[in-house]
Amino acid sequence: MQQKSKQIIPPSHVCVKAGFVAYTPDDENRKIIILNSGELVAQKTEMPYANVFSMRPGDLVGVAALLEREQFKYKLLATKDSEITIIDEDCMESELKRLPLWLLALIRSMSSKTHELKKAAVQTRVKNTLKSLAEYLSKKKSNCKYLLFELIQEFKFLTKIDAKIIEEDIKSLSRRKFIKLEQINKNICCTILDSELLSIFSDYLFSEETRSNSFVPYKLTITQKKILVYITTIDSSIIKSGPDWANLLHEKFSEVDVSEWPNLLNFGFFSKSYNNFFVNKSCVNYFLKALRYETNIRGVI
Amino acid sequence: MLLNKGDRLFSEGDTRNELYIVISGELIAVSTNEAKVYRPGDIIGELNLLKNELCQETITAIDDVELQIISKDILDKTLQNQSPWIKSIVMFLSERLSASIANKRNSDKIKALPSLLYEINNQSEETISLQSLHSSLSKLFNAKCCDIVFLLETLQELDLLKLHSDFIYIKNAALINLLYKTIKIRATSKTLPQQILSIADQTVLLAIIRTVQQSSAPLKNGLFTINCSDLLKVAKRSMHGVSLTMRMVRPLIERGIITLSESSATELENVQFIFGDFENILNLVELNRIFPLLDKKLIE
Repeated sequence: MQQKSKQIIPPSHVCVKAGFVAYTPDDENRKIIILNSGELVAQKTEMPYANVFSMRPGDLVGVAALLEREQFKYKLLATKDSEITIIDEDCMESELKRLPLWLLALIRSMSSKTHELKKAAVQTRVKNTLKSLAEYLSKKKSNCKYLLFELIQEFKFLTKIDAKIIEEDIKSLSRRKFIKLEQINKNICCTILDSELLSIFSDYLFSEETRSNSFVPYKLTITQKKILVYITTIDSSIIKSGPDWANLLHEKFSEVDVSEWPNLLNFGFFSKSYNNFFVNKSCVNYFLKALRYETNIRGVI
Repeated sequence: MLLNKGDRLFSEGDTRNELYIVISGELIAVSTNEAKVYRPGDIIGELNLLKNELCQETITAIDDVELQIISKDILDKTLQNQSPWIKSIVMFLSERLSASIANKRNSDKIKALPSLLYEINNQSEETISLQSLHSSLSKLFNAKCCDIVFLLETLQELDLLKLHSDFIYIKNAALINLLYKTIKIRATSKTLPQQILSIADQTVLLAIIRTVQQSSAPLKNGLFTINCSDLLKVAKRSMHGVSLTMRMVRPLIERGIITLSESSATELENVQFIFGDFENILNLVELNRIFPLLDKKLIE
């Protein structure tokens, strides 16, 4: 025990007269400064040396400098005669060695969580940048030329994603033939070839993330695909009861029985009108497009 | 402390004056729209113990878990045996962590606003399904449901839209578009957007609005024509006797908000008519009313 207590390096106590500097960021040694009495003011180091905050007895600065290696960037000036305690790296280390492990873990955990939160507060929330870009571009008009730098600028403003990552994702969408890039009068223009296709692509990426391999259009059986193609030929003004539709489909495809009907309703191929149903053209077209451009969407060109 | 698989450690909103250190096993923490896993070595509930905050997550054991519990008594006794500055540092770190959590929550809300306005702007209908809006914003910005709801309620307070149970009714799409453009310009060019007017400009526009409303001349395709002499009279009343001058009107002409029939005139007394887009002026004045309010509400 005696050996241990000998290793403790005590903090230093310093008196600073009013008007004198207690700390400057030029000092290479990282330290925590605790104000015991008097008053300190934190000042910017550049003109016009604005005051950032005042310290009252009991206040401390420099914890992030010591624990997270983030330099304390202000100058500390005594506005009254002050007494301060300085804890430097050696002192801190010797004290931390004496702490119970759980208290040391608590200090480290709070410090690292704060560091992560500060970082996250200025970073994008977007996890899948390609999905986000596809969703953004899906709201633009098809076959319209947009200046690429304006698209990147707006998307960056919306999502805070780094411009280099956006450029990579633009290339990825171009490789999949969802957009076309061309140079016109020294400007790179981007044409959205089909905004609905980009929307389908973002839905595909979304379902891949949330429920692996569960993008519904790619889960259809051969029979369901046949039904899909068949019902594209049926006008949406035709309204029938559920059993009538099931009978019609059975007549067309002998392997289709009534048990298929609930699946077709779940896919959204049919919409309800009172007790009857009609073909939901927009849903059917969505499935057809997803299947037609499967290689582009899966990115296996 | 031992927990079996599926046991709940605590629920969001519970009070716990202790912290837990995971010795073995894993736990899942679920809060509004987010989930994370605690593994051996992780600490749960620092702020419950140090700042008596309510539990922010619901935590359940994924498998059999062993935890070390540190109570308030143990913490106080341990800190008494250390140098006094250790306690100061622990309390300082807890304050800083609490402030960082609040700051992150606020920043998530503020950062989701442009995406929300972008999505609303790109809807062709006056009513938008709340579910489809949530889905689009989740894909575009990974926005949290609670943040979207907060922002929609804020926009509702500013009378831009009306929230119903499962859809949103857009009250003024043009103003939402103007707000989006203004925020975008402020963020991308780091300058004060042209749409943000000085108090003097706003006063002149309010006088113009009053003159148009008092005028019997109908709008033509949303465009108004007013007699400059009428405007001067209205302005004198609304500006407490101060006369409207060309110097006060010029910034609005330069921004293309209004046009004079005699563009080369140097005195307003020599101008016969003033023209402009009435809806644009109404929206500009409304934008300048809500813009500082929105900033304030978001920061609050």
